Amino acid sequence: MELHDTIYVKETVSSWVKNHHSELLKWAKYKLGQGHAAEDLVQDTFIAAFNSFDRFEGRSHPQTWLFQILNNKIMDHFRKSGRTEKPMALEDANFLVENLFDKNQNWDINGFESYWTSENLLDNPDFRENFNSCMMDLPLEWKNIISDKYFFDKKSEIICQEYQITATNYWQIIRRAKLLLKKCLENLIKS
Amino acid sequence: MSDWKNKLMLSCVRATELIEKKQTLGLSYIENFQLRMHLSMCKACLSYEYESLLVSKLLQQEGSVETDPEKEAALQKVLEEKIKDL
Repeated sequence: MELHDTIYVKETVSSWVKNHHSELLKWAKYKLGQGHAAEDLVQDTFIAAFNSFDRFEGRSHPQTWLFQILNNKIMDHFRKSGRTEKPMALEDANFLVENLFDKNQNWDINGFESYWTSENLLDNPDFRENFNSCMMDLPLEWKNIISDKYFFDKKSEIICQEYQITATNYWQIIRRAKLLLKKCLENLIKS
Repeated sequence: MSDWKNKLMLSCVRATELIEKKQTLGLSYIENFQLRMHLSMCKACLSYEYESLLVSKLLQQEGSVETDPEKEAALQKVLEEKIKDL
């Protein structure tokens, strides 16, 4: 890099730190829990962004690019610690969801109804742990869309634009993600 | 569900679709009525509605966890110094 380029890159990446650091950290902490690992990975993300700035070229929104880098780092971190995210293939996920219903497109009560209507599930640590592990099973796109909507509180139109899907597609994906989560959680309770 | 219900009512697939549509785009008057009808008779879909709202709430809650602004500022400052020295 030429000197004046370096200065420009440093200024740009610094401005990204100001604008996106807290969001990235919130995400990393959500995935990794409180503690230094999340902080370190976020720091590494910005340094990696500086080092590979040539590959950015303004093709995507900086935030999107930074999240890609961070998510790769989180996956590496999981891999090293023996934990792997195991997103399901889209086909398998669709198959599972469709098979929840019978040929008339209905389903029967399955004995978990009172579980879902019981109070205080949100305060139950076992439930939360199961939930996080079920989130990891979701197909990548479903997980990203559902996180964008609820975790990042992004507007529906923005999400549809980013993933190039129609509004109907969008809530269908959210529906399928939630159905799969329901099935996964019920399986974990059973076992 | 028995046949007469199928004719009068939404299928469970359709009902779960409307439960989600309700939370994203909203429902028309008729859709809303159909869904309420269905939920009053179908425990399986009612439990899906509970689960659906719970998942939304849980993720929203995780997303709104406040970070300590002072610590956040300190972390940012350290990082900006590091970038300067690269």
